[in-house]
Order: sequence, then structure tokens, then C-alpha cells
Amino acid sequence: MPELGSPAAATRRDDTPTSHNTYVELVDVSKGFGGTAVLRAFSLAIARREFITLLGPSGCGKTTLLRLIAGLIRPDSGTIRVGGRDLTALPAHRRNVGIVFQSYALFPHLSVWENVAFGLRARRVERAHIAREVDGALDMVRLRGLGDRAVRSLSGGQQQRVSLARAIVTKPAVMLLDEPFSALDRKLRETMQIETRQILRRIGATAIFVTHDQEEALVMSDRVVVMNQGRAEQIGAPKSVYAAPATPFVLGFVGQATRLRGTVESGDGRMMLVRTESGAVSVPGSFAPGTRVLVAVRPERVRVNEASDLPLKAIVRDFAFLGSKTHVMFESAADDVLMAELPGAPPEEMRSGSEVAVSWPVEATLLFKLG
Amino acid sequence: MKVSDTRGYSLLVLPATVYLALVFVVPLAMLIVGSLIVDGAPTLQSYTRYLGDAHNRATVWTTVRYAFLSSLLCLVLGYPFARLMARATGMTQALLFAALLLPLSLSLMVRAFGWTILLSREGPLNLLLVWLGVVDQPIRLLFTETGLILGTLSIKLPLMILPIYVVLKTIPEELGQAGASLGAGPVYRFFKLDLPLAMPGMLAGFALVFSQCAAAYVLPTLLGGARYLIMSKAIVDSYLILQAGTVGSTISVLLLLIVVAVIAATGVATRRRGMA
Repeated sequence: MPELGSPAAATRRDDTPTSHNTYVELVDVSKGFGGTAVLRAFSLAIARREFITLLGPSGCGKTTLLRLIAGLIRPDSGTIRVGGRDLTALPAHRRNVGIVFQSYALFPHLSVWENVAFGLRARRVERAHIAREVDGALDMVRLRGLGDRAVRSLSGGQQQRVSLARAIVTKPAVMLLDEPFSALDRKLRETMQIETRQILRRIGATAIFVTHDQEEALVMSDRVVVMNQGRAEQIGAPKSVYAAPATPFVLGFVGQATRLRGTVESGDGRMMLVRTESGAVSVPGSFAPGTRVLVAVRPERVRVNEASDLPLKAIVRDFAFLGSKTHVMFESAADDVLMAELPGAPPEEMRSGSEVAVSWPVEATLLFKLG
Repeated sequence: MKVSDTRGYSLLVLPATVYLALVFVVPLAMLIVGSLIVDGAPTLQSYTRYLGDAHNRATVWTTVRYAFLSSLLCLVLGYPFARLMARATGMTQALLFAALLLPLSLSLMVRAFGWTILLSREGPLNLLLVWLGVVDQPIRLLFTETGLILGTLSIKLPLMILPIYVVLKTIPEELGQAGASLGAGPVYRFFKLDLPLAMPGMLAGFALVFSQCAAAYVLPTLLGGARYLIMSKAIVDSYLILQAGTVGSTISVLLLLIVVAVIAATGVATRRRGMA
């Protein structure tokens, strides 16, 4: 992973909620464990009904953030507000925050129905109302008729639905989802992602979702917060995080990319020539000659053997036909990556070891200044 | 492992089975038969005669009361300790374990005699009570049920704590957190989550302590005194002093039935909660 550089070509397009529609607000929240800072003055504003994903590698602080919002742990400093109410000092059971745990955390001594009813019973809701709400929630997660079952007798996907129903039945102000799909197999996971998203949208929930799976983050979210070492690297819509990563970390963590390190050789104020180990490329920008940069391109923007001003000569190392597209890896310097994703089947002439011309549209270039 | 593979291994239980049959099943059968046969004919006469006597019924009642109170107090005192132990980590947990297990390495007799000193009229417990102002002058503790149960608690507590601890260890922390996030306060969580989830361990501990106390002989003799009449003492008296084997086996079988009933009841309760 390259050193964090300052964002250069990328601009942040945050769609940040303006103050009047901010619903969940974290202000300068810090938390450490045993002298190690896990979150550093973290701030985030989330709009009502927004689905926001905290994405990052393990240890980046995303789960800590979730637990802070839930009130399971207290921040060392900072403020957490939901709907204008300061929750920072409130215990978890006074926050009206629903959680779907990675382990589902269903109560093993209670039936499916009793699990879902737990929150309403704890709030001493009237009995007839509980029955109505629980049946409604079980309907919503398509578990009607399984209310009498023991939770242990359910499949993983069904348990996941119970935990979702149990949380939404209390109409929480915020829904927190902590990697809820990671225990499911791929097929079921995709189904549950879509279904969960639909249910949360239907009830108008404000949801904060934690995952380390970038694909899941892109699929599910209105906005993604890419986190690294207790800070937000970038906050933005999935599209903008993918198309315009703010930092080399985001570039590397979200999606794949051709990544070439190089040095600026010359420039005319608009375009500059960057010398990389794979050859010279012309990129938009105006850094001083000698500046170390990282040139990156998303693989679907890369073209092979098409007319271009300054193509790179590259040797095909390997390619994989994936049905609707073909993945091509080229030989490159040790820390660099040179790759392409071509639509459809591989070109007839493509062989491992054959030399091709690689190029991309100038506007597809992502440029990062390296420190 | 395939079923056929287990056949060889199943032979390995043979020695233990034979041993248990010889030292446990056979004597037990002799005991039961001995209590049912009077003058060469099978009859329940020895049971009706024993239970027909108010003095004997008091002995049975004392036994059940002593075992029940001791188990109940062990439960009340043991649960918080088990919970503390289940949550503690590192050094704290090691210390709690040591506090629990080290006393077990002392012989029961030594500990029982220790309690006779503790409970005596000039003993530390009385000094403490007087100093605290709870009582004006030293009270009688030794050879009372209170003193006996105090001593019993100190000795039987590990039997209660360990099964509860084992069960608590298997309960994920997230269950309580889920409960809290659903709006349940600490008291509600305690009664609706913590207690029911710990119930299998509490029932197992209760059955263990109850059966141990119901059959105890040394402690009730040393701390309860000669006038504290319980079934285990009655059994010993029948066999050794009165030389009345039929009465002895009758009381033994009754005691066994009481203990089996309690163990069965806790088993049923555990299964009914679907937690077995």
C-alpha cells in the first residue's frame, strides 16, 4: 500500500447532509483501548432515512463506532446526537437504537415469536399491540408461521431474518448492522443484502451498516464511509467513491485498479508526462517535475490495442474469461499493477506472453501525489 | 466416525462397567431387597412403620430442610460469584479460581473442626458480632442449624459455583447487549435473560449441593451436634448401634428416593426450558 498522499485529481463529492436534515451526528468522537487510539476525533453527519456504510479493514474502528452509537461503550471524548438529542451519556437501553449482530445474538431460551416480542415486552407495550406488531414484523421478513419454532432450529438466513425483525419491531431511531451477512454463503448473502435493503427502505429506517466487503458496501449504501486507522478516508456516494477515490487507500480498498508509480518529467501546465516502470504516460495535471505520483485507472476504462497518443507496451501475463467480461493482467514492476477488464470474450489474438498496446482515456486517469 | 468403528472402543467401557456393577449396583440391590423383605416375605411394612413415627418424620423433614436451605443459600451466594468469575479476565479470574478451589485441597474433617472453633462461644465469629453490635453478648452458634448451614455453605459453594460458571461462560456477551439495545433495562435483563439463561447451571448446582447435603454425615455431626437428627445419622445409628439392618436399609432407600426425586425434578425443569 503506498503512503497516504494528499488527494490531487480526486475531489470529494460528499452530498453531506446540510444542517437542517442531519439526523445522526457524531462530533469529534474519540475512543482508545489500553492507550491505543481506535477512533480519532471522528465526525460524521447522517441524514434521516439514509443508508450509510462504514467500510474498512479490520481494526479500522468501524465496529467501535457502531458500539459507541449503540451505547455499548462510551467515547473518551466527543458527542453523539440522534434527532437532536444528545445520547452520549445515555445507557444502551435508553437510546432506541436497534442492532443486528454478526452472530445474530438471538435469545436461545425464547421462541422466534418471543424473540421478536422481547423489545416490546421490555417496554411494557400493551399485549394486543405486541401481537399485532410482532406478526407484522414476522410477515415483513417472511417468517410468518415460524413463530413457535425454537431459534436453534432455523437456518442461518432465517436466524438473520429473526434478528432483523426483532430490531425493527421496536421502531428504532437508528438501525445498526454489524456485518450481518458475513456468516452466510455467497448466494444467500446476495439475497439477504437486497431483501434487508428493501425492508429498511420500506420502514424508512436510518441505517448504519458495517462491513469489510467493498462490494457489499457499494451495493447497499446511499453513502459509504471508507475508514482507515480510526479516520474517514472518504465519505461519498458509492459511485463517487469508486470513480474518484480521494486517497490511494480508498483506491486500493474499493474496487480494483491499474496502479503505476512514477515521476513527473515535464508538463505544459495542463498535461504532464509521467515516467513509470511500464513506460511514459500523459496525464492531466501540473505538478513540478520530479514529483512522485501514483497514476491509476479503473480496469474497465483500460483499452487494449486501440489507437492512442501514447500507449504503453505491455505483455499479457494472464487472462480470465468471466462470461460477460474478460480480466487481463499484464507484466508490471513489482509494486505496480497493470490490468484491464474488457467487455465480452478475450480478443482472438490474445495469448499469455503476447505484447499489446494499453491505453485509456485521459479523463479516466486518477492521480495521487505520493508523500 | 462410522458406527462400526465405535464397536472396538465400546469394549473400553467394560472394566468401568464391571467395577461399578460390583461396588454400586449389587450393594444397592441388596439394600433395596433388604428393606423390602421382612421375615422372608416381601412387604412395605418397614417403610410404613418408619414413616408412621412422628419422630422419624421429623428426621426426614430436618434432612430435607437442611439440604434445601443450604442449596438455596449456596445458589443465592454462588450466582454472583460465578458471574463475576465468568466476566473476569487474567489475574482477577485466576485469583477468583484460587479462592474457590484452594479450600477444596483441605480435608473435610480439618475444615469442619475449623468451623467448630469459628462458631464457638469465644470464637472469632461471636467476637465480630459483639464488636459490630449485632448482639450484646456471645450467642450460641455451634450445634445450631444456623451454624451448621454457615459451615456447609463454605464447603459446598464450589459445587454450586462451578456449574453456573460453566454455563455462564457459554452465553455470548452479545445477548445482553441485544437485550439492552431492545430497550430492556438491567433489572428486566436480569430476570428475562440472565437468570433463564443461567438456569441449567443453577439447577445442576442445586441438584449437586442438595444431594451432597442430604447425604452429609460429618458436617451435621460436628457442627449440628448430637441432637440434630438427620437421616444419615439415623442410618449409621441403625446399623452400628441398634444393629437394625432392615431399618438402616429402609432409611437409606428413602434418602436415595428423596435425592433422586430432586435430581429428576431439576432434570425435568432443565429439559422443559429446552436448554438440556
